[in-house]
Amino acid sequence: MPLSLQDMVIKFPLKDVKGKYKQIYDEELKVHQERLENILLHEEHHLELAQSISATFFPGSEIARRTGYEFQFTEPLCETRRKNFDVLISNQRNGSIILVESKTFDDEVKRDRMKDIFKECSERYDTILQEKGVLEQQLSHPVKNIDICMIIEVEKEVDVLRAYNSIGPERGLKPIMLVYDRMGNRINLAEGFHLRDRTLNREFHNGVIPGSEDLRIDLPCMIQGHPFHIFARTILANPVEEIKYFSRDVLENELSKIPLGCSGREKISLISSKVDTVIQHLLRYEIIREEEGRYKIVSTGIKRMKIADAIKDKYIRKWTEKKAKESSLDRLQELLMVDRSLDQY
Amino acid sequence: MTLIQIPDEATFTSLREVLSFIDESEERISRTLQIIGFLTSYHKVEDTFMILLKNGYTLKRRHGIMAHFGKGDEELLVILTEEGVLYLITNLRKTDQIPEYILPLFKGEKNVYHLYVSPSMMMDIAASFIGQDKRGRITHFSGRYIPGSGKKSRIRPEIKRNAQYSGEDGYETLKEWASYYGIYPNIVTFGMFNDTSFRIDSQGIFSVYHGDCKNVLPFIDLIVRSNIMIKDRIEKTTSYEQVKLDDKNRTIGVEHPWKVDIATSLGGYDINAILRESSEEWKISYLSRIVDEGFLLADLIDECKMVKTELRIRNNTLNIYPSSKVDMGTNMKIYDLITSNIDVRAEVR
Repeated sequence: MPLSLQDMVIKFPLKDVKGKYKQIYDEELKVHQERLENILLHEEHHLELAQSISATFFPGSEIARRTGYEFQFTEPLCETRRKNFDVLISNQRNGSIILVESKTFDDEVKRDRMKDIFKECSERYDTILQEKGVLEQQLSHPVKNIDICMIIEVEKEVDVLRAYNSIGPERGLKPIMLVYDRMGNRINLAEGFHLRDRTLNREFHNGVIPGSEDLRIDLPCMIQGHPFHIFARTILANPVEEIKYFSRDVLENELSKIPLGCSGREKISLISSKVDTVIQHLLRYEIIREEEGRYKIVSTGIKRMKIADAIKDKYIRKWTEKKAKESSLDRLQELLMVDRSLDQY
Repeated sequence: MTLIQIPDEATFTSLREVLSFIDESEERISRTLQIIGFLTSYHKVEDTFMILLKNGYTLKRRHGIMAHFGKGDEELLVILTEEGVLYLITNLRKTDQIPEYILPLFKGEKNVYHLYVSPSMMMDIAASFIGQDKRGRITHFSGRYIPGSGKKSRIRPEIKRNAQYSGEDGYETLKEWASYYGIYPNIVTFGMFNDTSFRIDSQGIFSVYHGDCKNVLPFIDLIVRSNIMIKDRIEKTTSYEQVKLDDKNRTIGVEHPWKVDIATSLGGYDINAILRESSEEWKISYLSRIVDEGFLLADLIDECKMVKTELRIRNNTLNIYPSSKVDMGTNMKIYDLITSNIDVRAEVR
């Protein structure tokens, strides 16, 4: 536990604790703000990628007919409450499944991020193996082969692959890389990668046109998405007259549109707990408040566009201030301790 | 204010018959006669009654495809054609009464949008009736220019402008202003040599100042044809359906878009800025989600009908996806928004 600012002022009477804190706090504000803006932007890209893959393999699509692989559902095994891959496609005929994870990258592709991804893939794959029986039941066919793919956007392909290749397989599971060229509207296998299924391998080698141009599935958000992103997608963009008020039902309704592996009571319970998480999160950052069994968006705006802009700014501000306060105190304490340890010499 | 006396037994089967009746009627209609057109999915004139009754109008009498309504001293002739085109005929003032009382009537209704006269359609009408056929002249117009919206302005192309012109040489001036300043018209007054003078407004309002109403029919017909063609193209491709995925009752919403091709040098950032600024005038909320030079993803919410669509732009093609339901009126409104602000010659594929 870091000390409070007041404690530190008392403990280090000779230092300009408050001045230093202010300086650190301002730096941290900037860092956290950028981080959150990135997170929210990534959520949008992430959803769009998952959307593209799902639509591409939608039953009846050209590629589904040619390869036998069909979109099944998003976020397999999310009912375990553990994060998993984004999309599951499978081939009933040969019992093969392909799990696709979509990732977007900042300008700089860090090795550490890649290490985290491999570790994450490895953990998720373990869950898949542990719960294979459940998955087989949901799919109504045995699972014989599993391919793990990661789909990325094209601009940083070289950087991503460089980071990818610089890390050894002992660090986790290295997924098969697919590259989405949004401008050219194609998904390709990255150079040097292969899929187990020969037909599918050939298709991706030549480049698959995402189905999302002529067909898209109604996927409002990802069930394990960021709470604010879910709120923005389902409430702020919900076409109703009373923009500022909503009830749980609206969130539940929207989330129930998401195609998931689980069904029935299990799905209802999963959605209900997700709705709790989202609402708690929004209440914590004063984005909404409870009012006679409903929730009211706390914004002075009247029109949807104004409210959407203002509430996003507010959320970023509140979240950033909270995080910056925490991390500034940590940093300040560390700094003061180091200073003191130098005093001893 | 009495519009016109109609004998109880009179019955009409077309807009032409109604207009001819008005033309041949002994009495002169006080004030300018206004014909306001809407594209709808209604099948019979009764389908419009609920809205009118709800808004305080009372039915005086049915006359075939026309119904005669009244509200205080205001009168309204309501006509629904076989194609589902609704016409409201009134002598209310266009400046304030029509926007205040008449236009809002059907704004929130499903699958309704006023007959839309795009800037380029207005130009085409002027070129064909006035330019080629020389059937009259243009005596007044107003129009605007928005930088980058596919209109070419030779002089100071970066300036946004609104313009109004009155003069006997309206057609020549319009051509010149279009060429020099990129001005495209949204309101044009025609003075025809058959002594009919009328105004066409981009919102499907035809104001007959002088002469026979039926002389406006060729113009109305042209606009109706064009609107129906756009509507048919949209409806041919777009749909929202619940598809059953497997035997576990897993269903999923599937959205098929309609597409608009644009010829413009505008990139995703430009289009985003334009739509953000202009959509409010169309009562559309524009919520951008991904903005890149070559790609744009945004939600468009029609705040009149409470209908949401998703817009994806890639390689000069706009894809508009229905979100949970398709509304023809919302789609026509989006097409209006696109041709008015992004590319005047944007074509529905």
